[in-house]
Amino acid sequence: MSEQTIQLIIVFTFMSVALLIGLRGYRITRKEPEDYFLADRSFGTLVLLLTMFASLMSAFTFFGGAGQVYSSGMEWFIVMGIMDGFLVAVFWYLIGSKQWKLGKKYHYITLGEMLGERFGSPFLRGAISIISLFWLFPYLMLQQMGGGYALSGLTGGAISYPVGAGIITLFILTYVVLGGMRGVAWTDVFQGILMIACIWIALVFIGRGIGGPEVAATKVLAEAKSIFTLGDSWTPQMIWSASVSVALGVICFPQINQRFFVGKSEKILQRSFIIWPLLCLLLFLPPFLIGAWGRAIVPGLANPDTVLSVMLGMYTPFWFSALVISGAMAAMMSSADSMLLSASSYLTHDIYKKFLNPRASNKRENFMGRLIVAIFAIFSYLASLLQPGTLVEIGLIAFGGFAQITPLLFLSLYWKKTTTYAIIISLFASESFYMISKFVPGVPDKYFGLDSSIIGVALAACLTIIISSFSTHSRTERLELFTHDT
Amino acid sequence: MSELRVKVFWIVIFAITLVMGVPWFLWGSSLCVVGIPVWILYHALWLVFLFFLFWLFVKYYWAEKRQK
Repeated sequence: MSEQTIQLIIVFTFMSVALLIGLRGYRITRKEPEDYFLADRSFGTLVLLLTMFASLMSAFTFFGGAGQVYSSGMEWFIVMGIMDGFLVAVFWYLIGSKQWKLGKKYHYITLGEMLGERFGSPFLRGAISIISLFWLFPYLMLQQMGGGYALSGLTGGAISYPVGAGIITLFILTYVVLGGMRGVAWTDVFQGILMIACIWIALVFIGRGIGGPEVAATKVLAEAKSIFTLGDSWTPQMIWSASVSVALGVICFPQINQRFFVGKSEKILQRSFIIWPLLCLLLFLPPFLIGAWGRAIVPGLANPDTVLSVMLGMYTPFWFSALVISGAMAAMMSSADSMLLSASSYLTHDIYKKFLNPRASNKRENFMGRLIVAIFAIFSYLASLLQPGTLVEIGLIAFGGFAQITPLLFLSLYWKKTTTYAIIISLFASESFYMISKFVPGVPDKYFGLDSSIIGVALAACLTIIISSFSTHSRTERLELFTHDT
Repeated sequence: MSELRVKVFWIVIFAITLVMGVPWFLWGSSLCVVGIPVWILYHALWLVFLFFLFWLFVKYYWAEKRQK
């Protein structure tokens, strides 16, 4: 057997194990939406923590992160540490714990549903879901691109990029369609542990291959000193605006936001919150260091996102690089399946059942959820074939889009005076501003050194406060939902 | 301490921690220890510190608040 065949066997064995775990989840999932989408809010610390973690960490972290360090320096480690380790955790407390309580009390399944009920506005509910799906599309595409790069990189092109991306799409579709939240979360636990273990062993292999971290550092300092110099090519504004905008975006990511609903008790949320920064440290350091070393060892890569695969190929035995690619695929698949599941709940719960077919049975709703997810994934697969940008570029645009919703969510949870008009106007104003700044050529996307996503967030917050101050609550609003003992 | 003062106390602690996430005093430095730049080691230690901070926060604030 050739090395390549063995590598492929390793990758596919791993993917099949994940699939089997997903199928086990299917066997005990009932047909009710609350069970299918939220596993009946039954998760303990280990499952909640790892499903949160594996859903968040994706091709963006693994390949994109290493590529970002390769092209712009280790400051990315600080951006990600502050963003994921600190800010996401703090929002976890400020927003997540409140959402958990509300979800438990009123059986909310989606963010749009929660806000729509509070503001008495089905329109708001639909708008939040559609906007979320719009930004989810590029982020899902990013995972498919990552899968394509990984498989074609591993096999030296024997599996081409389109086939690789297609295989990933097929696998995740299978276990989302079959498994529901339980299946997805259980595979997340497996995949989360696998990706941390693999990347650390990879770091040891590569470090030893280069001759130890000291030798590697000497090389980096000689060839590309800026990578290891704090603030070389990065300004404080860049560090803060990148971390704040990504963190704000993460909170309204459907697959993350929905996980605020699935903990069994508040204690579970607390324990996960405490361990969170350590998991971030464990996952970020190795791929970023490998990316930094890569700059000195393999300078001038045409596509920086491939630096991790290239370094693996150079320094690790062939079977091991297959294992790490499996780990990276785990990162992508565990994010992609969670995204698809959330997309499905947004589409069926907030749009299909709310507007198109209010009297649909649970069975019909379930079927539609799965069908729509399949269509969504196929379209994003087709878009991924165009490879419209680097992984981090695409990811950042999506994060910025979600970030616009976060100030509105925060204000609705903490400020009683927030009105329906204010929320709706601010949502549309900031999203339109952000989209124009990113997609219309000639319109700047940076102001005062800050990315337009931050400006949009500030705009949304100011508008909400100003309009709420001058408008009154509409009669359909249900303030009491958010104010009783939360 | 009154409830408001406790709240302010935690906000201040968290704000200081956030600002200290970037090792400002090492700006422009590329000094390495055991092959890793000191500012990266600093940030790694900061993440470990977060673990302790969050633990204290849950123990003395979040969990307490819940019992009320």
